[in-house]
Amino acid sequence: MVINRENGLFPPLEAFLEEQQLKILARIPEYRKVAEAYSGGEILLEALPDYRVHFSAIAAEIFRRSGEFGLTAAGVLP
Amino acid sequence: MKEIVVISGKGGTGKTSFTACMAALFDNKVVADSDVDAANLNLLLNADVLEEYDFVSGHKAYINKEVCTACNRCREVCRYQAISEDYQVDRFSCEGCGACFFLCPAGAVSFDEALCGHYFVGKTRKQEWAVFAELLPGAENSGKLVTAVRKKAQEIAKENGNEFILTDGPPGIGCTVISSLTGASFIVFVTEPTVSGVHDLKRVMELSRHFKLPGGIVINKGDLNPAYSSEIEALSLERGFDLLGSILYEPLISQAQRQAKTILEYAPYCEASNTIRQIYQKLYKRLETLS
Repeated sequence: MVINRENGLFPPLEAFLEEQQLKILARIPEYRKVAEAYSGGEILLEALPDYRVHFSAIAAEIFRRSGEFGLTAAGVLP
Repeated sequence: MKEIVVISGKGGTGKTSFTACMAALFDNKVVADSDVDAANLNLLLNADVLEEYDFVSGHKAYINKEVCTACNRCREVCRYQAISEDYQVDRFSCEGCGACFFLCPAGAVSFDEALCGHYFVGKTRKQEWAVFAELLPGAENSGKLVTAVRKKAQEIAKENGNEFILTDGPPGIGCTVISSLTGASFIVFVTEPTVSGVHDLKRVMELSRHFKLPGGIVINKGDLNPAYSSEIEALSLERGFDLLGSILYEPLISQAQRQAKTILEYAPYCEASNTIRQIYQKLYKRLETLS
């Protein structure tokens, strides 16, 4: 699960994810600058390098889990 | 009776939030949600459901085990490999072609219309009628469900002598959008000044041209990107659609959403709410000019 445009915890969502036992890979905060970058078709991480932390968490978890399929994280993790 | 359909091309531009605001401002109307794949207008309207209807469409095969002789003929003729070794039909794989039904020597296959969803009639807090639907996961023929929703809304509006039907349309340019526009009176395009917003707006305008309907454009998050806002303004002139207004980027709108409220309820005096009321005035006047 990735929660996009988060702006404070939203209890109904937290309760649902808990009940479904879904792991939250990242919580990406709502921020006008993201919308501005998107509006011009920019890649988010090029426009706002600070957001890398969220995406590397997602990538790390995906690669951790796909290890069993023989994939590696080489070159992807920061 | 005039039917206003709100569409956008791109998803997530604020169609439903905008429609809910118009629902708060327009009187003497029926509200319909024709975004049947993800119908959530009623999360904001909170109508009490008074009537529920089944939506059946297409066919699905069903094998009666008591009659089945296990001859395997159905499994041979099924192009979709939808029938298991123990003669169960998988409802997601079955395309409803009827080959098994027509060719079963024992007559063990029934071929009834399939339940694809439901549609509902309810009353909002303003004591006005609302019609909305729910397509079952994986079900088909959503365009026909849109038609069912709109027919019901038209029926109710006729019966009560309502002046307007306000329809929250689906995103995209597919079957459900076509079903939403057929026979409508006026299109409202809700768009945003982004590369994808403009791209998808052009596509849905191309589709709309076929219907030769008048329409107007609402720009949402209008101050995000001035270059694309200008492009949308130019498009409105070029294609002959009114520019109804531009709502500024307003973080309070997503706060309102979190509480299942419209921005008009949540922050009635913020700039976005003021703009939305102006858009309503402009839209209302424009609708008066339609015969």
